[in-house]
Amino acid sequence: MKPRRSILRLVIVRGAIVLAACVTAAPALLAQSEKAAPAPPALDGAASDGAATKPDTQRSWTLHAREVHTSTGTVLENAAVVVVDGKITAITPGLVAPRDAVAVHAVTAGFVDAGARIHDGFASVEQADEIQPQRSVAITLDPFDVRWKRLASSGVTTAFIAPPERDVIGGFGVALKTQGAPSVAARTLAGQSFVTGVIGNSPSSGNSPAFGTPSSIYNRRPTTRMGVEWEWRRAFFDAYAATRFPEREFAGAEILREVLAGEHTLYVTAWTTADIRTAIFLKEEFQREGFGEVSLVLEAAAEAWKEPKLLERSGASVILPPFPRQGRGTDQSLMPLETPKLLADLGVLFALSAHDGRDPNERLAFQAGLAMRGGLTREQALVAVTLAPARILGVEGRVGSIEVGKDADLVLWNGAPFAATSGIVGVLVDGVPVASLPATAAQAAEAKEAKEAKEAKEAKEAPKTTSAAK
Amino acid sequence: MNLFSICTVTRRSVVSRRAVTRLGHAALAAGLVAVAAAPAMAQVDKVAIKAGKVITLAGDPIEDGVIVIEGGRITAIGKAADVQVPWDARVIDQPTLTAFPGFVEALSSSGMDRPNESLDVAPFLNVRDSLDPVNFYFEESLRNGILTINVQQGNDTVIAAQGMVVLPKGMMVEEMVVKPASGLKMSAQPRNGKSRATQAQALRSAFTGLRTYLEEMVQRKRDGDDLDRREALAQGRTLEGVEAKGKAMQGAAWKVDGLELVPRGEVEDKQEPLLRVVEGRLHVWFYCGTPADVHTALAVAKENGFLGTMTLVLGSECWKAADTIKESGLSAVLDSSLIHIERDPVTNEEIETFVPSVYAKHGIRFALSSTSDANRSLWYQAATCVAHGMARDEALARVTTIPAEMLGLGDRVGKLAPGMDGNVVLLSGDPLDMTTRVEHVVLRGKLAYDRSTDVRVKLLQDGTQPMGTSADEPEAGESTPEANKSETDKPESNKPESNKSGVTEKKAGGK
Amino acid sequence: MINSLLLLSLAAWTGIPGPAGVTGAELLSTSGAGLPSSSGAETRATAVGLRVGRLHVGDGTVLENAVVVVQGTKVLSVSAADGGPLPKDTVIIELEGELSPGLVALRDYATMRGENVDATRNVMPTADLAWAFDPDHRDTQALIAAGITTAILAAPGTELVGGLAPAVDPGSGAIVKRGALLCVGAGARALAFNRFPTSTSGQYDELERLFTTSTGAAGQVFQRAKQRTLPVLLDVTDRADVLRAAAFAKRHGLAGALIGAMKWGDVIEAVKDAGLSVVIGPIWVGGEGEEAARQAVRVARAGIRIGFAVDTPENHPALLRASAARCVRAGLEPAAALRALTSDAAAIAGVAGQTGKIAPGLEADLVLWSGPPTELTSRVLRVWSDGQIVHDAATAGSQQ
Repeated sequence: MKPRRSILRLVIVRGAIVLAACVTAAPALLAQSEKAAPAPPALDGAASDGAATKPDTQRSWTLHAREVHTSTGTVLENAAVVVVDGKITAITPGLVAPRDAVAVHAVTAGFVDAGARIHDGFASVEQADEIQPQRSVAITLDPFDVRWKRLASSGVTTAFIAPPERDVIGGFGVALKTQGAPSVAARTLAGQSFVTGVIGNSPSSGNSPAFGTPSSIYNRRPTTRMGVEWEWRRAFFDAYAATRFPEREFAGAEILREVLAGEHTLYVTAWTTADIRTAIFLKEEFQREGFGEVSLVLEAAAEAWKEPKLLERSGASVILPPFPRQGRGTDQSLMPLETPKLLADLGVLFALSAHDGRDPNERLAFQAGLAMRGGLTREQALVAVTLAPARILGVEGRVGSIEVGKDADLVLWNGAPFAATSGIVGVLVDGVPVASLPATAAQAAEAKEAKEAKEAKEAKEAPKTTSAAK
Repeated sequence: MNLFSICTVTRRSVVSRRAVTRLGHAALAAGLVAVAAAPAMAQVDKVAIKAGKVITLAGDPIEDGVIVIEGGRITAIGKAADVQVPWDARVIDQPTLTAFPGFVEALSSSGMDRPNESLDVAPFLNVRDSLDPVNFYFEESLRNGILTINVQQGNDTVIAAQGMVVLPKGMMVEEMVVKPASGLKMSAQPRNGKSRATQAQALRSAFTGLRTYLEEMVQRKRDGDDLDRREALAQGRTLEGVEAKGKAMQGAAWKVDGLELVPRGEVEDKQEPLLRVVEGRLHVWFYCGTPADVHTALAVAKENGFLGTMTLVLGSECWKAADTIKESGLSAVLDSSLIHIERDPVTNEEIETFVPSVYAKHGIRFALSSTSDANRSLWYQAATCVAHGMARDEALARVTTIPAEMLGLGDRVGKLAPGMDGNVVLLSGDPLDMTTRVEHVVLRGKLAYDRSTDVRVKLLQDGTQPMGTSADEPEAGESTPEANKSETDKPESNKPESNKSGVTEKKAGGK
Repeated sequence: MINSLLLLSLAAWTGIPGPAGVTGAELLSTSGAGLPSSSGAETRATAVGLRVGRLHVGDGTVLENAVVVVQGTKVLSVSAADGGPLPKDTVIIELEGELSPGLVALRDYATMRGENVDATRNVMPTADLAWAFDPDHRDTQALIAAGITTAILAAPGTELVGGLAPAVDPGSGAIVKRGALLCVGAGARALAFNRFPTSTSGQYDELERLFTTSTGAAGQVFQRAKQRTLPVLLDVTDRADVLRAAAFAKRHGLAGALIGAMKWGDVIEAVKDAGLSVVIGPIWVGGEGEEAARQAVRVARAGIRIGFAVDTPENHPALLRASAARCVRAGLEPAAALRALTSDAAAIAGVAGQTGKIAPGLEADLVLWSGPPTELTSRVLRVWSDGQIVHDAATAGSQQ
């Protein structure tokens, strides 16, 4: 009997302490919820109200948000996220914002855009030949390109860049951080290796038949979508045939054999149903030769939702393009608003993408919002721009969610993520702010007090005249 | 009022019941004809909208509210308990929806067969002649809850046609009219082929042309020449009445000696709209594409005395002239690109400016306008302003009450209050929410849009092709190679994990 | 005979009309320009001492009241006012102004009659651009009048491997060194739309292949480059190109210089790490020019050797010295700027043993300026090339 009573006493005493703590913390928490509303900085990164932090090479921070969306299925309330030297070291919910913490409404993991198109245009794809598996887009990228900052400011912290859609098989793509050292190699993330290619019209545009036109390297096949498929088939067949007939070896054949063996994933841009079917049929055709398992990622696969059985059979992952105007995009591909939801219901691993995000209204956060408009839950939309693309790219060990040990790639919001009324107020890449960060809790409190004091003073001094309405 | 609406609205009509019981079919036919022909004399249409939430923009939102519309105007609005619904009103009961006043498009150049003429100066034209009621733009506006649209010509002009404010529904232009003469469009931005100098010169010469014309008229009158009178009569213009005397031409910015000798009706159609502009009786919508254009516009307006009846229409770069605009005291309509991007010529960096913040900081009164993109309509423009720090009420006002006031319709649209037009949008959620849809639209007391019957929206939403438009696609698997290894051979690394949330349960607090 | 020759040479140096109304300057200048220096009168030439108020040696040293003794085509000695005795029979010429070594332009297309580019092949490692040099070309006079006495005649960066660029002397028409630099297009200019390579990935894959697997005469060229006996001139356009080119040079152990970029800011470390020099392109007036000048100063201050090039006739040769002068305005020390125009540039081109300084044993390539050479207000008064006057502003037409 005695032990039980003491335990009971223990529980009561401890419970009382906790209750007392809650009671004393509650007003602070409530006050916190009013104070932690910093003025969002102007889009050009300029400080607003003098309370924003100047960008520097500081890589350790404490952040506090009313909602921390981890991308792993949980939303932590009033949580502090501690970043040390560019890595997440602690996530603690149920706290009042520490005074030196950058206080915002919500934090999500940095976005991963697996179909970003920030490259050097024609200089990024070797067009002397349609089949160039040995090329790599990494060396063609410009780490000083100002568009990286645009991408990073929109919340995209990791991007996968493939060679532009001009070659049938353009070569290796690369996954890299959108900010960091001025060197592509330093920013590159080691993940799955992807050999990229296109099924559709784009590689054939610009080619012309050899007769009747001035001679150039573009006098060649393919000139139609049919020719593009033929090139695919021929390239893989020759690569396979070269194992028996060495004279048929060509530059890049070894890499295609590695694709057949499953060492590299095939990343195919295929907008329409016809192209998606072709991609999957080709995969199955060459898989049957007993080489191995070809793994497939379909990019810009706007009409993937129309082929559920094929998707399931092939195990392909899907990267969706940005939502088109009025439902129809490239090659008249139909991508209704519910496309992401349809794919989610099928159980397909898919991601959203904003391509080059040049139009400020079409960036990845907006795509996620549109996906919600099409029926995805906020959690699903978040996963589609963070953890799912990280999984597709094979970099989920480092990015894609807010978990201890992962890179400090974080997006800070002044409202619920992806709402039309929410704006991104700060982005961290490896713990380094892209532009300025919002105010800390202490600074926000001071600014608020100063403002209130000023208003009170003005109210006392000036006669009450209603100023002209804006 | 048209036959179509009569047939669809089923209500207990006192007239039809009496007709059936007393007078029989003939009388019923006569009664229906009477109702059709003289709606003012027959029973007034009554509608009561019950919504889970009513956002009036004239006060606090009302939970479980009711809006009563009679004869196309709101007669009562309030909590269900406080408002008496007429027994013969048609009730639209939507407890899950939110009622909202329609959005007001301050300026739009869509909906016509082409936005501009090839003529530089054409104030004698009117958009009523080019407006196309079945244009896709109006269908889209209705779908997005935009119920009041100021249709003006586009920016590629010097002086363009007169515009009008319309509803987005109707088979003929006359049915759509809300306000017939909402102003004249002008542009300070050089149109194709013109330089800044020649554009300004074209603007000025239109007005000097007017002055010369009036002076010549005066001279002819002094010479006793009645050419103008004969021409006016031949063209059927009115020469009698108050307007006919020169009195209407008082208050012109620049005086023309002896103008009182000329009856107003003798001024020809080509010059008359400009004369009204100079008198301040016709509003001007002046487009400026660059900050320098603002100065041109203000100069032309000051010289010709219509600064007080003018609204600026601003391209995204014009935020740089915010000081000048503030000094002038003018209001502005912003074009749809709220984020202005420019490149620093030395560092090549991109600089983005959120334009509405600049104007708000300067205290300039402005309204927002939208593109015709469904996903980025007026609700999105307002929501974007909130995302950049504008207060919610202020953002909502900029797409409702403020443009309504700019159009001179502040007592008719933009808010839900007794006396206003019976235009109500029923939304599935908060107006600024990404997932909200327009479910129903009531225009002047008539149900004008029902999302459940909107075939086109269904295509955009879930890809359902309208019946009869899609070819039957072969079942996947019919003419395709067989899959014989799909289930068993997938290595673990390729196993697709779905995007369903809740894949892993991670408790808070780290490891 | 000898006396008259003496008189003529005296006349030549001073411009006084000699006997028979022919000015010595005319006589010697016409015989001086255009002839290769290898064929010259082998009779023991007179030693001429040029005394000048200021003499810039070219390595940063400045001598006051100096005398430089020229004999034949070379400089015999250089001494300051209280320097040692001069050889007997030295004819002293007094000059007003400042003397500097002749300028070295590190890339030039002058005199090549547009024949430095092959329209059908963009890889020509063994091509000797000296064959395209035309000493009688009218471009020569403009070069000389700008004080340029050594020019590297290179292929533009549009060629993947443009060939072997010689260092030539436009004044004497001599080829100072055949195959001084190997021209490599390592930047975006080498990409074309209608032939391989169209992309940077193809470009670098091909360069890698050329440098590692070439055989025969071409292979030898690349071998020499990797052994650092043949410096490489790498054409680049922006900082990304610089990073790639520097990494490539480091990987293959190449020596040489980067040319063609305007911005060097964040990539200076990479350039230093690869041990490359930098050739500064033409710097015009205006904001962009000032920015380019500032960037050049940063490069120089980081300890990287710099030189200048203006790609005549695309730009006027006078822009060479003007570019250096604008760098001085942006903060570069005048001595460093002059070094970049002379001795450092000669070192980059691998002809430091022949020209670039006023020093005993080097070719007598001299320029007389009306003031400090790196001031825009000074102009060229006289130019000597291999000991001969090739330009005299007093008698020349409206050049400069």
